[in-house]
Amino acid sequence: MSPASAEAAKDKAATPPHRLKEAAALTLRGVTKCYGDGPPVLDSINLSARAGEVLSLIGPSGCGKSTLLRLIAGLIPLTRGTLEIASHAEVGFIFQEPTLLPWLNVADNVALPRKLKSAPRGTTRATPPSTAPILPSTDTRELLARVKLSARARAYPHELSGGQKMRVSIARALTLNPQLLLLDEPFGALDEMTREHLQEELLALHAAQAWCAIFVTHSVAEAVFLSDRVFVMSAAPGRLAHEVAINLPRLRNADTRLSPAYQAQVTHVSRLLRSVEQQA
Amino acid sequence: MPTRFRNILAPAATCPVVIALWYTLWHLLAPTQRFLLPLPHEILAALRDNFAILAHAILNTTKGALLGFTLAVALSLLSAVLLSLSRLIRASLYPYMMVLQMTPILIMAPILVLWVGPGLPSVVVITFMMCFFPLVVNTTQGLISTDRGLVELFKLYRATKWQTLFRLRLPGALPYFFTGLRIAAILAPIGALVGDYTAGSSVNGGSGLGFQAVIFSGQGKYAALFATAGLTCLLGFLFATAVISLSWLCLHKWHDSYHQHH
Repeated sequence: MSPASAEAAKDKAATPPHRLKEAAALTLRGVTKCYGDGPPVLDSINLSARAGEVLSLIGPSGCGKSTLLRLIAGLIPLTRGTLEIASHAEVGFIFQEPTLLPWLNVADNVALPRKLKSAPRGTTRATPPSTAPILPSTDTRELLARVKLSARARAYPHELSGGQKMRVSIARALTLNPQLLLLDEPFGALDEMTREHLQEELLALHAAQAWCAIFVTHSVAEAVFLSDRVFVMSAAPGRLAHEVAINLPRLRNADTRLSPAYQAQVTHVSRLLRSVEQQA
Repeated sequence: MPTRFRNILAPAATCPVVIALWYTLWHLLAPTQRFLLPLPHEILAALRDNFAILAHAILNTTKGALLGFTLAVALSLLSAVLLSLSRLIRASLYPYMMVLQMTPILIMAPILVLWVGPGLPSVVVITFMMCFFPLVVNTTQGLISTDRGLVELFKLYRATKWQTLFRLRLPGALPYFFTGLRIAAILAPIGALVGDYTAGSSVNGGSGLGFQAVIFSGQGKYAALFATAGLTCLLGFLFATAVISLSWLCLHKWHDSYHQHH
């Protein structure tokens, strides 16, 4: 048994009974990804995320953390293993780049997922519309208020700053009320202050909607600040080498960054990351 | 706006200078050679004297240019969507499209007269031949240059092929399409003129500016010939202005090319 799955088993045993009743938002069993006949990029990934949980994936470049996120999103097929997402769950994805349509204004960009969903389906889609109850999508105006962009609803992407563009991207990912939100280093290109503000805003949004999130990042501080659990990955092949539970109160703010408990966790994860990099 | 001010006022200010140079040049010519350079007021007089003929001619040429141009836009859009589907399709069809562009109009004209008849049909086909290639090449390039992140986004939301085409690929290709359209708009009046010159016909009053140029030069009416040239310029200017305005309407709100002066 790999260290990660052993950890996962221990975690399950330690879970209080009321937690078990909550449906797992996401379960990965033995997920492996190879390109062609090449060696596995990701090897036997076991991972389970509860509803409302925030997990971070951190690891050296090329460890396959972005690939894992794309597998979960269904953007690329997996080679072996199983991937279960709670039935009828909407998945939101936030890319490294804001990825906005430049010819649509902010409000229309945010409403895009709804437009793609509500348009009449041609014969090109195999499955008929689901009859299962779907959560009502969140009103665009309300979403813009939550990401503090109400005043810029009619603006076009080229008129926005990098941080504002990323806020639009976040609002768009939340439009269909996802139960699972996947974030691929969304704040990597932003300056430190904008980055910290967006982290705090993301946690505020999480408190309001409580989606399960998988956050890929290069920053140990970011991973610790946002997460309930941090996974440190090793490279070639990509594996979940260490799992660290972040024992900080769920309500985190700017003061959290100054607390000794937070800094101790950052140090701990940094050491694990360094050890993984040395083994490679 | 200072830019618009400059673009209208500057040419207006240089106009008297150009006209003064024109008269000076005329005075410098030997009196026996002065017929080679009709003066502006003589050209205006020729325009007035031949107004009925020229008005009719410019209408016919406009009709040929518009029909050929519209046909080229419609067929190039359909072809570009087809060509954007795969490399194999592009590799198989591009050579034939280049043949269409490279065949000299002078050789095609008599063939077209045989195939579709002289006058408007030939003019339309020749205009089409000149406009089609820049349009199809640019639009295809636009359709295959769609931002990869945006393609992934549409894939993530399981957008249908039609949604991806109409909400992503086509709007994304608009700037490229307009690049082709600007070139085609300049070529369309020239194509109609060349078509009329080489395959025009005066049957049923179908002669255009090209045909009229042949007649005026045969008759030695050089001032009228200059008036014909002026009207051709005017037509080209109208086409270019229409397309530039349309491009501004569609792109100015969002495209970078309209926001470089910050």
